[in-house]
Amino acid sequence: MIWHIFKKDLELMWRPILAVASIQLAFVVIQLRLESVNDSAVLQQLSQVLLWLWLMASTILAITVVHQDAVPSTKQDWLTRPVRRIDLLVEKILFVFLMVQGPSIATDLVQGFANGFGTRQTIAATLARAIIVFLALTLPALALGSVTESVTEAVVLVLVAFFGVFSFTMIAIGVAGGYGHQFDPTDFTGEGWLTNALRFLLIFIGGVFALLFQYQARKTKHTRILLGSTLLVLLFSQFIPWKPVFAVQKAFSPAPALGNSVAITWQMQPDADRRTSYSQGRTENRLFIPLSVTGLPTDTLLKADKSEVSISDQHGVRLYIGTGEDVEIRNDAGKQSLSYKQTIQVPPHIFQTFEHQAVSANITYSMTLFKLQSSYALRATQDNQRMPGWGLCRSRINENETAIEVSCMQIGKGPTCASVFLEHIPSGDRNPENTACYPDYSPFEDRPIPDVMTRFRLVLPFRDISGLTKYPVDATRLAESKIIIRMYEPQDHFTRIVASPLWSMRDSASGN
Amino acid sequence: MIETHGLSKNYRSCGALRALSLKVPEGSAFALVGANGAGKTTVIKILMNLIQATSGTARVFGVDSRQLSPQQFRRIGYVSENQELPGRLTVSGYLNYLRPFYPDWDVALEREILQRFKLPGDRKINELSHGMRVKMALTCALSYRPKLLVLDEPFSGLDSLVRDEFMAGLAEQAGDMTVLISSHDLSEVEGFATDVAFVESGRLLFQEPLEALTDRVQQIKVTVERQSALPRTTPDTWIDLHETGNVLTFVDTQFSEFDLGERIRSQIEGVRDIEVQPMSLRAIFTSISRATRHVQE
Repeated sequence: MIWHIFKKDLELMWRPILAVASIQLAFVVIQLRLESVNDSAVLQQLSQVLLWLWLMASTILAITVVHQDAVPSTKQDWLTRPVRRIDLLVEKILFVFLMVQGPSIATDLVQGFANGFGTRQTIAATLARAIIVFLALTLPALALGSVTESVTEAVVLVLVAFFGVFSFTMIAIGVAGGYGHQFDPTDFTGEGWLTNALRFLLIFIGGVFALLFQYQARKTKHTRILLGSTLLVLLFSQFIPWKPVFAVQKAFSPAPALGNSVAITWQMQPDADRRTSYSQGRTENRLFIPLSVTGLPTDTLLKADKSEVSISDQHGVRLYIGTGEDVEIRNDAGKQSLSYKQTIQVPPHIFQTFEHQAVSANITYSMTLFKLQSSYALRATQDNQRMPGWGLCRSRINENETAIEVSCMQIGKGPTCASVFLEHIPSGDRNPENTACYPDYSPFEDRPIPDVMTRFRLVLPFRDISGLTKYPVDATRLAESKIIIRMYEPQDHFTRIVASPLWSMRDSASGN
Repeated sequence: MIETHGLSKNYRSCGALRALSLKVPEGSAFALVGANGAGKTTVIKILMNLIQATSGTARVFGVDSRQLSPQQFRRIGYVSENQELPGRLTVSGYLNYLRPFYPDWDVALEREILQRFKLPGDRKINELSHGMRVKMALTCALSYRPKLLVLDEPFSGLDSLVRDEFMAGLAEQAGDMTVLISSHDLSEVEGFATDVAFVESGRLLFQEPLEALTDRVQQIKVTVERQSALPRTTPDTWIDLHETGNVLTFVDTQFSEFDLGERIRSQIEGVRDIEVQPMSLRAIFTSISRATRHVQE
């Protein structure tokens, strides 16, 4: 009877389905237009409006589909009909997946094929996005629809949930000691996909269980409590500590032994004592701790996903716990040892109180080692190329004729890390590299919007209007130059701990 | 066919049903009567598994009402005053939708009922008047010849013409089906019901065959020689007593013709005349309700 109920819902809902599909279609048309007309602010804004409109309309449509046979009601005719409730539930899920998400799936497929991406790659990316959209949008909408009888009631529940989340966040901020505190340690790290995956799993378990329970038992109050509890667990999921998340990420390392040789040590200054340098700001003091990395294989890039810093006094009493700033070290030349300075921001009151005292620092690095996977060359001007693992790219000179713009798109998940530079082929001269490394170790694209394509743009300057900078590869040499893209892939995740001897935060006379 | 034992339903602190036990015999036309808010709809909603009882049990076709499955619903027809049908479907569209769910659906009967009720097949359900919608619901309930037909206040908001049409249609198709009908309008069920149950404030006052009830409950009018002869106390079975001059009128809830005169004379002195009047179901219901409320106060 699933198909029979499906046909009834289609007869009732075809108009709103068509309306939502039209919004989706308009959005895709604008996306395609944006690919040919760069920097159109009007189109960009329209695309954003349509995207949000589609999200809202899809959610409301999914809820309305469930309301066609409302579950909490005691008046609906279907309740006293020989309709198997499991059939009805399956039909609702199927209907929403095909009719609400369907147009979006279709346009994803069309975009993939129209842009020349392979069948397998297109289907895999489309399916991955469909699952993410289902978990992030459709399933919660279905669950919400099952515990409400009208869209108004659903909106009220959403507002109540929003108020709950807002209150929770405010309380959390209050407890943590003010704004600016990052609750989720995986935010803005490549490991963020693991907590997202956990959240999707929670949504799946909570959503499916709530739907099964509500359709079988019709206990709306209990199901609402269940959904509220799921939301609460989701809120608490942002407090998952870093270490277990990174441990899971380590288990996914494609080449788990690649980083075994990597060591990080406190760099002894040959001239004097162990010395750091600092700079003083109004709200913080930045310490620059000299470190050296050895054993980094050739053509690799080392990135710290997190550097947890603790500073203690000479008796071991902890004075400060925080995180160090971003670390990114590349070894293209196969050097044995590479030096760098770890930047740490210390609150002024800590610095002023302990600046002359002997302290020790302990840095725990959670690191990822990237290896050069492939290199691609693209003509500097007016070139189009498809690069496996990187996507479809087009190069052109920008309107001011100061830089080459490389616009790329990839179906599904885009590249994670690359260095890009302009090279004059005959002479081998290169312009400064542009490293674009935004780690995301997810095996799939976990960002469901705006569509299945990942679009990114690189800018490679070759002329400075002010004349202050001279580029080895300038406008006159562009015709004989190529854009070199070196793509790095994460291979190993590991932890390194650096323990310093005693030093003074202000034992260097000169600030940086 | 239907049995409830100690059925109770509380809405927060308010008791809508209080240990209600009921038995609907197979093949009967069972009228569940009571004032608005007495608990009739609550009983029916529990029987149809639309809501769950706080305590007690309800069985339909021998199955716990909470466990009613499509197998049982194929044999149950349900019509309620506030039943929500899919308004954007047409009359024919909804009948087409329902048909495959019922193996015993009789298309000829469906057409016959549609014709009888003059229901326009191409009209959307939400464009139908209230009366037409109730007829539509009845068509949807009768077309598969259910073994049990449950009607919850089906006459509410219907004009007398539609009521007559409804009842005529129902009577025509009733056959050997068991009908449970709840109503506060007793005149409508009087000519139809074989059994009756009175519900008052969530309690079942009694249930019995209608014939036995009308035999048992009669209005007595006693004329006495002089006004002072009227009694100060009367038996509990005499309710709704009214005294006008030297005439006492009351309802005897345990009426029996056998030695009627002697029984009355043992309570009242100087009886000059005794007149027995049969009562309509409405009059019985009104008298019993009034007496119950009086006792509760």
